[in-house]
This record gives sequence, structure tokens and C-alpha cells, in this order.
Amino acid sequence: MRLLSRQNHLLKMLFLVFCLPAISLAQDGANIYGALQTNANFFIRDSNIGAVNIPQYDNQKFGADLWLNLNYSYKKVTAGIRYDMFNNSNLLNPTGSYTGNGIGMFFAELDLGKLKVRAGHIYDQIGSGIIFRSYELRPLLFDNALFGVKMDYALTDNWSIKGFTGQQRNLFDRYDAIVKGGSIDGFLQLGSEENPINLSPGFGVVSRTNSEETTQKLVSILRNYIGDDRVEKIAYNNYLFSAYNSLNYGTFSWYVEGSYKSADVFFDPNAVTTFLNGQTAPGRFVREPGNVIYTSLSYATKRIGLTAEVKRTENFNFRTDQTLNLTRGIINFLPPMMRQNTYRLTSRYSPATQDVSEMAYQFDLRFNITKKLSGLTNFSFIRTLEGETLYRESYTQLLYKYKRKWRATAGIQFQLYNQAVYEGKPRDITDNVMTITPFVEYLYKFTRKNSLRVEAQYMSTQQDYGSWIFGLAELGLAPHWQFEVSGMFNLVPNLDNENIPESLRGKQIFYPTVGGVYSQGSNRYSLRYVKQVEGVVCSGGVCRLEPAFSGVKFEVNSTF
Amino acid sequence: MMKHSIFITCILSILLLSACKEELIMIPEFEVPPGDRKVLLEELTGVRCPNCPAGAAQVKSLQDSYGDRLIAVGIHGGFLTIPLSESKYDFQNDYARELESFLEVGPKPAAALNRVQHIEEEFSISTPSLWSQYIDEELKKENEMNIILTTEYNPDNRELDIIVSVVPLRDFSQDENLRISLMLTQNHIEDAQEDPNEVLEDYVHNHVLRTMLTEAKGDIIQKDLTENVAENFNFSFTLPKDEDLEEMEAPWVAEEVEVIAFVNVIEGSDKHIIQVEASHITD
Repeated sequence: MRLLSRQNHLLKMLFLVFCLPAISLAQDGANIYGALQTNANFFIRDSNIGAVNIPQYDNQKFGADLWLNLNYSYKKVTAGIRYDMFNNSNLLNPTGSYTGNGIGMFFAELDLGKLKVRAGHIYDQIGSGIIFRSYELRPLLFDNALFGVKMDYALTDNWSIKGFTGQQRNLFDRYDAIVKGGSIDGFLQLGSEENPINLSPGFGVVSRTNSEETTQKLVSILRNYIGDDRVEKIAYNNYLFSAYNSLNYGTFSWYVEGSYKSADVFFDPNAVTTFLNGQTAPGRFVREPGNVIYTSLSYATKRIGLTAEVKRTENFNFRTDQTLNLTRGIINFLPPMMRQNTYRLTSRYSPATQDVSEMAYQFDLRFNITKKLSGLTNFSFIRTLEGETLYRESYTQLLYKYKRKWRATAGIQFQLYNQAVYEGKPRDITDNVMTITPFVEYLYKFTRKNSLRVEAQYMSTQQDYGSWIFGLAELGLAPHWQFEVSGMFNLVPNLDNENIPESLRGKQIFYPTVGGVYSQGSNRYSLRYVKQVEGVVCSGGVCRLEPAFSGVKFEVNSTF
Repeated sequence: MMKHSIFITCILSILLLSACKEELIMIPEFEVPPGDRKVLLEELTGVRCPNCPAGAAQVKSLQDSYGDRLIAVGIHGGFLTIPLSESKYDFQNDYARELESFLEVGPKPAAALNRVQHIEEEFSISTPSLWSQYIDEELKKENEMNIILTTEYNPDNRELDIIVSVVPLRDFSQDENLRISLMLTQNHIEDAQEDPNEVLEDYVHNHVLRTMLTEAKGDIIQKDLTENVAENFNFSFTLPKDEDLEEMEAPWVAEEVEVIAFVNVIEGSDKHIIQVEASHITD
């Protein structure tokens, strides 16, 4: 009922947002713009690769997702709305099916000079997002917009203050907890005019007040705990503070942020629950304060760019309802500390950010040797605070550009990936995955419009599925067409991985992709036949394990 | 401006810190809500699910706490259920597969509690710590029906006769789409199971769904039910002998077999269970 009532409110808002401004469309300066994204998946059951036992493969056969944004701006008013549709979609839960459609997001924004007011769905962040970030990750059907009101006020040209309050979006409904917060951000210039030191300090605070329902759920969970596991008291409110500053001096840039979270109940997967009958099980709700320290130091010249990052995270799981898991109800964002790889095999193992216990380091060096030859090297290392190694990556690539005729890239990646932790697989039969992945890419331009790009990668590993080879050829016929053929093959399969069912273990399977893209203006249509191996899919540091895919994907992307 | 900003920051911090003081909520001791209503916990599990032993431990703990008010069945329906190389038995069956799809399982371990959508329109809840909360919610609801189970097992010919007596505590019309479901489960089956650290070769699987004597979603009750008038449903089944077992089928041990009978509703997205009862087939 509450959902229906909210939908009625949405329809009224729709009228306000679009019909009234439309009356003034004829006036100068009015602008309507938007974007469309749609995915249509045709699922083809394939028991050879494990694309089975999911409703879409077993009986539904088809699933679709769509997002249609419309925005209107006129003078001091901007308004927007987004229609979302999911039909037998596998985005929310890769092993399930979700159907729903309606108004996924809407807002109205007023620019009143020094004061800016936004009502409706709010996307924003404080600092780097450690205590608050509302954003959207469509590949994971993640959208934690805050539904409420935000006000920004410019105290001076260099200082501004903002405050917001609302409830977190939950698909077409909202979670019950109230989230509120604010920040003050500034800009200072010190030093001389010739050698200025620019500072961008800020301070933010966020608080969440639990709903009665969540509080009762926590009481119900915690009253089952006995002995040392027992939590005696809990609070309705939780507070997070963050102080941050960006310093720029010449070629140096330094960002530092320190965040604190007051004692709060959260699920600690590393804690152990002892039941009444003496049995134990991993994972327990605990009540602890948390903190994060993150810093990034950069140095950049024409020839060289160097970035070093360090992040320490302890007990910083912050959700709108502490009983939610996976990607649900997350209020904040912990910056990922590994390279965002793009090649098929170098991106196969990506670590999800750990919010309970993580110590992470990353170094990135970019250099131009000559005008034609450049390169980069990246090193990242992630462990738990207790010392268990989670992830290590060393990545180096060189890029050679020959006029505008051709471009070649070559490199190598070394990885260690703690599959037991990141994918929740049994420790005694799951070794850390150690990979060595050399890769090359070559782009040749036949004419100004026509080009061919080829990729070849080989991942050598004795763990998980074993070693892979990947090849891709992409023919570009600008401005409209692009054709792609690629394949991934389990060249040296791992015969000893007990995590793989015996019926699939050791099989040498070819995973092809064949497709084309047609672009016209700002419209892009793609059609692909895809077979894809099971793997971790990450977007912005948020990751999940997705099953194998087999079928046809049709996508439309359009902006107007 | 610097002074201005520091002043505002200080004011904000004082306001927030002063707001931090609140009355904390004391966590009470555990107690079972009074009443006659019972709850069916359908545990969606699998031998390849490393976190499922923790889920099973939670079920056992809950059964210890709630006693016979909580009845459990383990459904090995498809996801993470393909036997391990160490497995002697295959716990999958068509009923389990159909139920897993019917209950829209996500990550495992998960459990449906009286098939009520407790979280975000989902029937199966993937956080074992939450199960207790929803069991409480169900137990606090008004009881609308009693079920009396009578079983008679003949060890000589392994025939099992079951009478399910449904005693409504209010009138139910045929339009309410009631169904009767009957499951046979088995405890203490030793076989391999993954856990977060290793493959446990002699893990004890409890309340494994072996078969059903009705359709997976229940047989439709094609009549009105009258308050306090018992309606009997008869079932019979012969426990397969060891020599008649199919490949990788676990032996049927009568002493470990349990009958679970329940009355459920299927009407659109409403799939809730009205009442459930369980009984061993031997003394």
C-alpha cells in the first residue's frame, strides 16, 4: 500500500516536474535533454559452462533492463526524471530474476544565487565519499540515491556549506532509516603569487537514525548471542565525521582524509558466533567504532607522473540498515586501491573493497620516454589488518605511437588474488590465484576512417580454472560501424580444482563473442552473441561473483 | 573568512556532539512468544555452499531455542548442489528444484520462513542472523489452524501410512486457494559438504528433503473448510529398500525419516503457510 501511495505521489510530482515547465518551453533558454540505456538479454541454456539452474536459462529465456532519463532546465530551475524498467532481469541478483518498473528517480533543483536547493533524489558525496556518497552503478543495479532535500550555500567565493536529509532509495521504494549530514568546504591560497600553495580543506558529518523495524531486528538478533558474543546495548543513532584536505604546490598534490564512525552494530564476517548448543559458525554482529585513513600523494611533470596511495580501514561498514548484506543499503564509498584494468584477462580477478579490515597501498608511475614511447607501471598491495595477504598486483605496459598510422601496446601483469576471501570459497581447497598475464594490443589505421584493432592476452595460472588465452579483432568503419570477434579458451585447464563440479572440471571450453556496433549521431546500437565464463564483476570497487553467461545481448545507448 | 568557517564548524560539531547523547536500548534475554502457531523454515542449501554449514548450525540453534514450534527442511534444489567428488549421495530431486525456483533463492544459505516475503519482496532470506526475527514475527501471528499428524509405519514391508487432520480455527472458503503439502525429510545422513575451510567428508546433513507426497507447491484443497471441523487427508508411501535405490541415492533409514505436513496458500505473489506440523515415523 505504501508503495502504491508513493507511486501516486510520483505521478503528481511528474506533473509538477514536466507539465508545468513545458508550458514555458516556448521561452528562450529552456532546454530538455536526456539519455536512454537499454539492455535486452536472450538467454541460451548451456550446461557445459554452468549457464543453468537460473530462471532465465531454465524457463524465462529473455530479460530486459531500461533507464530513460529526461531533464529540463530553464533559468534557475532544473528538473529531472528517470523511468526504470526491469523484466526478468539478472542485474539485481545474478542467480535470480527481478521484475519491476516505474519512476526510479526524480528531482527538482533551484538556483537562487548563493543558495541552491534540490528536492527529490540526491546524488552527492562528502570528501572522497568515505562517510557519504550516493551514486549509481548500473552493471550491478546499484543506486543508493538519497530521497530528500539538499541545500548548498556559498558563504563566500571560496567557502560553501551544505546540508541534506532523506531516506535511501531502495529500487522503487525507500529504506526507512533517516540519513542526514552536511559539510563545509573551502579553498585557501597561501605562499607567494609565484609559488602559491593551494589548500582545499573540508569537514563533514553524517548521521543515520535507525528505523524502529531495523532496531527491533537487531534486538532480535543480538538477544540470541551468549557469553562473550553478547552485545548489551545498542543505539538508534550513528555518527560519522570526516576531515579532509587537498594541498597543491607546484607539481605536487597531496590529499588526506581521516574518518571516524561512532560505535555501531555491523556484521563482522571474521568474528565467530557460538550458539546455545556449543556449535560455532563464522560471522557475527558486533558493536564497535570504526575509522579510515586515506592519503594520496601525486607528482606530475610533462615527462613523469607519480601517485602513491595508502588506505587503512577498520570496522567501516556503514549501511542504512545494518542487517542488509552484499551491495544493499551501502551509504558510503571506500576508494578502491587497485588499478582499474580494462583488458579481458587482466581484469578477470578484481578485489572488492574490504570494509571491516583492510590495509592497502598503491603506487602508479607514468612516464614519457620519447614523444612516441610512453609507459606506466602500477603496483598495489592489499592485506587485512591482521596480516593476511588479500591481493597483490604488478602491472607494466609500454605504448608506442607511430604518427597517426598505428599504435602498439605491450605489457605484463603479475597477480596474487585471495579467492577464498573474495569469493567465499573453502580455504583448504582454494589456493591463492597466482597469475602472469602478458598482453599486446595493436591498432592500425588503414584510412582516417577505417581501422583494425587486435588484442592478444595469455594468463598463466595453475589455480582456479587454469590458464587462459584470449584474442580479439575489432574492425572500425567510422563513423557508423564497428565489428568485433573475440574468444577466450581454457588452454591449460586446472584438473585439481575441487570448486569446479566434476562434470565441468578440466573441460577445454571456447568462449566466443561475435558482435557489431552501429552508431549514428549520439545513438549507439550493439548486438553480440556472448559466452562468458563465471567471474567477479566489479564496478567502482564494488564487486560480486557472477555466473557464466550464454546468450545474445542487444544494447541501445542514446543521448539527446 | 577563516574565522567565520572555524566558528561555523565549531557550532556544527557542538550541536552534533550534544545530539550524540541518547538512551541506549538494552538487549533483552531470549524468550519464545506464546501461542500455538508453528513456523516452517525451508533452508535453501547445497553441498557446494561453503557458508551453508554455518546456516545449518544456526537452524540447529534456533530449533534448540524454539523447540517444536520451529520445523526445518533442507532443500538442495540446484544452485551449489552438484555432488562433490567426495560425495556418496546426490541430495537433489525434482521437488527441491521446483521449490528452490518457487522460493526465488538468491545467495545461499538462505531460508524461507512460512514463505512470507520479509525483505524487499523476497521469500528467501540470505542472512541467517535474521531468521530469528522473522520466526518471532510468524509465531506472534494469530493461529488459524491446527494440524494433527498420525503416522503408521510397517517395518516389514516398509509401508508408511499418513493421516493429516486439518482443524480450522475459522471458516476457510475454497476461494482462498488453500493447498496441502506433505514432505518426507531425513536426518543424520553423513556425506561430504564444503565449508569455508575445507571439504567435510563426514558432515551430518539433517532434515534433507527426500521426496513429497503432494505436488511441490501442494495439492489444491477443493472444498470449503469449516471452523473446528476436522478434514482428513490420507497418504501412503513405501520406503525404498537399499537394493532398489537409484545411483547416488541415499539409503532410507526409517528411524531418521520425518513427515512434515502444512497448509499453504498460493494466490498471486502470496505464498504463505498457515500452519505446519511434523512427526517422526517411528517411536
